[in-house]
Amino acid sequence: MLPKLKQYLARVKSNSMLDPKAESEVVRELQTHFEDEIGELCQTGFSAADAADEATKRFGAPDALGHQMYEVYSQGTRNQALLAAVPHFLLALTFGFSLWRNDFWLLTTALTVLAVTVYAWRHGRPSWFYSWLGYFLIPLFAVIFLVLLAVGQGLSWFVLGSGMQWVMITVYVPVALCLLGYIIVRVVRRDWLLASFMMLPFPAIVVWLVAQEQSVGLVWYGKGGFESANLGMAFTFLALGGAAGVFIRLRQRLLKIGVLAVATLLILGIVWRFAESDLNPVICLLVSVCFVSFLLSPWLLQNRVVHRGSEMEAWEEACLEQAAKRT
Amino acid sequence: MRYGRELLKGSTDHLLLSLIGQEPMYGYQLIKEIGKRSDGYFEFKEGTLYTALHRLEKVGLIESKWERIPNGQERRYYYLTKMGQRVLNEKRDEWRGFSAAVNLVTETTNVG
Repeated sequence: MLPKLKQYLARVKSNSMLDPKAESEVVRELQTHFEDEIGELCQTGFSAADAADEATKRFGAPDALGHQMYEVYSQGTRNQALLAAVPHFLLALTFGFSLWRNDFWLLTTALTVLAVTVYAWRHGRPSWFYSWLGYFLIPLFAVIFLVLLAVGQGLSWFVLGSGMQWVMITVYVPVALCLLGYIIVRVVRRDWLLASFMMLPFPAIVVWLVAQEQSVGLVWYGKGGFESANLGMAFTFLALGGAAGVFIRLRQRLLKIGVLAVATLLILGIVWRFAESDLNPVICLLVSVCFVSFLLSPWLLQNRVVHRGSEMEAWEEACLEQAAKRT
Repeated sequence: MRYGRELLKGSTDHLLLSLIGQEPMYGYQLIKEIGKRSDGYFEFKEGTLYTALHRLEKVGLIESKWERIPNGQERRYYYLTKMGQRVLNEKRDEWRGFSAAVNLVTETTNVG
């Protein structure tokens, strides 16, 4: 393909942030259009390079086209919004009806999350799937958090046992962190906003875990430590489900970002209220703002990932050009 | 010219649905056909055409299928759906009413 076209299509791709299936359809269709147009221009006397220039000019700015495509595909249906909210609602049910006591329910919920995540990962990764992926990652994240908490409190010997302690610290934590990093980078490469959407429940869960640890001691009491937090947690997950549904239904990117930021602030407000925290409200607000920044931090990561990706592409292109010259 | 562009913006869906309703077509063919039939009056920015086609497909007014053309290559053909046909009929009626009303007013002005 001509470098000009390759560059044009790459810019459309990076601005449209579509799921892999839709992206390949769009790119293939635009490519066939360029083939027709360049063929026709060449017949009227254009050189291939000039024809590519003219064809891309007629198409309009690639960034604008990418943004328009994003808006066409970004709004999910009501069913998709419901699908995005379901994992949050499952957790709301788990706490609202104290179902965390029921091992069968917990196992069924965990297997459902696993099955839906794997299925959607392999079938086009639609937007709603990212809220399931977030819950798929939470056990990894929570175990790391609890191991570090236990180590920090000097309880690891007692809680984990001597052999287990070293396996958790030297094997589990690094492997889990690598897996988390790999998945986050993969998601960010498509769209940083989906990574933020995936991480939506993280701030609320971290604040709950810290609050419960402070008041009853999760490391000592295990899941029994949640006894006092049922209602608050149910409300938190209901609100998260609502926010996820609204996020999927919105079309404009700025509004989606606004929903994530405002929902996180409101939800953390619920958490602070129910966790009966002794913290000063101003500190609670500052911590909440820090969590919102954390939630939107994949944006910074995307700049690095995309920059690195384009460096690789430029390098590949230079190699191809050199090879073409040699032949 | 600006007025014409605004008119085109408001009529894009109608034009695309009408053409696709007459015969399934692919993007490049649609651009050429619109230019030819309007005697060059309507000039789509090509990127805009694809955004409009994908939007219409997403709301279920048209559907697409990759098909082989005589030279062996594949193109994405767009077809009108039943819902698309219904919307097209409504748009046609709307347009007939609107243009008849505009004609009545402008003809009266000329006479006066």
